[in-house]
Amino acid sequence: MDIKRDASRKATQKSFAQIQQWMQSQLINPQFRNDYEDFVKSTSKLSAKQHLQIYQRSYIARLRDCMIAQFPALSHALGKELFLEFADLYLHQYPSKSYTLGDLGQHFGTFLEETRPDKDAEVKESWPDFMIELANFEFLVNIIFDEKADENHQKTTLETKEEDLKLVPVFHLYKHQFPVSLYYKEVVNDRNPTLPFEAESYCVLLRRKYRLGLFELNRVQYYFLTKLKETQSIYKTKQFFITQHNFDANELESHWKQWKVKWLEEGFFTSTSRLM
Amino acid sequence: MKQTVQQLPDLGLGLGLRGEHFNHILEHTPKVDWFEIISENFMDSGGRPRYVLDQIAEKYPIVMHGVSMSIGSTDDLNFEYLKRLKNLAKAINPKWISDHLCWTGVLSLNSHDLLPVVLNEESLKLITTKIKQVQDYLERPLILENPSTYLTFQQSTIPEWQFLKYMVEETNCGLLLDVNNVYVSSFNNEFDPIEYIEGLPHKSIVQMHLAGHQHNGDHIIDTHDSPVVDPVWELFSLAWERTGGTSTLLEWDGNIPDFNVCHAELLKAKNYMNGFEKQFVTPRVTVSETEIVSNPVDFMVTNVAKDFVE
Ligand SMILES: [Fe+2]
Repeated sequence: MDIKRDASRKATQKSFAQIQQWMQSQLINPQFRNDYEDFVKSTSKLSAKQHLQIYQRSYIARLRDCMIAQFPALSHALGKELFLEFADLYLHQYPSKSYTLGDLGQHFGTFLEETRPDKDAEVKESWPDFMIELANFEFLVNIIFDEKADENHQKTTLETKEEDLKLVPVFHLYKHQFPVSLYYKEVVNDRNPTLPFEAESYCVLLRRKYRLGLFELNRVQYYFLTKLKETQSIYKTKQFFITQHNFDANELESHWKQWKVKWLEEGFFTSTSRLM
Repeated sequence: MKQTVQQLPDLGLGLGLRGEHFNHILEHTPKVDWFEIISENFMDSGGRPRYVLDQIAEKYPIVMHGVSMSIGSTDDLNFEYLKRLKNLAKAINPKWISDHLCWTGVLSLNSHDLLPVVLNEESLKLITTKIKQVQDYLERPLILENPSTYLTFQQSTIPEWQFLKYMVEETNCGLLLDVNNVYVSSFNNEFDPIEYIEGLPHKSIVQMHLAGHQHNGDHIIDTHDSPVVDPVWELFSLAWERTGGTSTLLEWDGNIPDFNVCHAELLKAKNYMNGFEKQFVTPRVTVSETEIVSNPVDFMVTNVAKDFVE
């Protein structure tokens, strides 16, 4: 039997689906094979394997670039080399099933949780907690950037009546075990931060005129804004802290006055009515 | 279908809309004939990209160019994706919708690359069936682009230009002829780019793409990160003559320069509209040391960190 002709007949018999499954497995899970010639033609310049390798290289490079773009702070925290090791393992374990690259990192926090080095140890180290918090936060920033909301806001000033002040529609409050938002801001502003110590932190991530803003809060401010977001009423929020948490009314009012000036400037509010 | 490919307008010379140029376009309303958007960058956006697009679409004709339809996949069509595509089209009213003759993944996975299709009777049958499904669903002709390819399958029996011609005959879809991709693929797969362009059904070419690439000696990568090279202008001039002129667009996706630099590169096209035979240019090739990824990531991902205030 003519073995060569038999081999080429075998090659031409591959179905459309078989060819695609073969090529995809070569991208997502590249392994040494000896069947490149069964699928890919060699040319005068490159072998079948070299032709395929162009796709293999760009597959992983493109997705790595995308992971770095979605997790700039985590990649800074881990260092690029270690970050890419995690990213490669993640992409192997959670290959993309979405039509959009925007979803690429959606399971990265979960993956880091599942693979933390002290997963089975009784006493946990704290640095993996920071990395996981940071990963989850960074992915949320991506989501909130494109969140659907009407931002045709009324401008608010100190003259806007308090009953008309509402929080802007894209307004998310976060409490972290580490100073995650501060670290994030340092990285995106190229200030090269060092790894932080554990310290509870609070922040708000908001959007006005389609631009994101990220602001640090203290503990009281965080709970105040959480209640305000729930009630959308400054009066009710103040009352809640006075009656339920025994805040001194005058003291709260004097804090509120300071917060209000700052938060108006930072674009926390929109107004339900036209300005006088 | 409400509209045929032949009814689609000649939009003139356009540019790929990129986030880097948003502010310039909003502030200066530059004299560009039209813009092409990457559909995926806007179809899920309720934020700034979509807000900016709505303003630009009021002032310029827009064409939607996608990368995720995966028309050449043996998987079924993703109707959730098509629904979002159609919704965006309803909102911004593009002149047409295009994607690539490629597949992005199978078995529900996505490689996020524009992968080459095996070109034979089996794939032609499946792809033309899927094109008809898409056209029925979108209620408009689908325009498909020849991708840059880096390999040829053993099982391919039909040259790509002929495959595109059969596709057009079977489905009445339109073609987006990327002359840079013809050049890149012809070098990588050793076919004659002139024969390719001569063989296409010229009346169905709705649009052309121009772009720069990176030459790596034994292969070329379609990087969209540099000016158009002379041999590609040469192919453009041939395609221009054969089509009688058609909507033309410059793609620039990596190392994106100022808006005016991109625009000036696009306007060079006017120098190549005087007939192929009269304008022969000797190919000059520069070889790069390092390899860059094709279709750089910013093409498909918004860099949120770059857009942060405070
Ligand atoms: Fe193109």
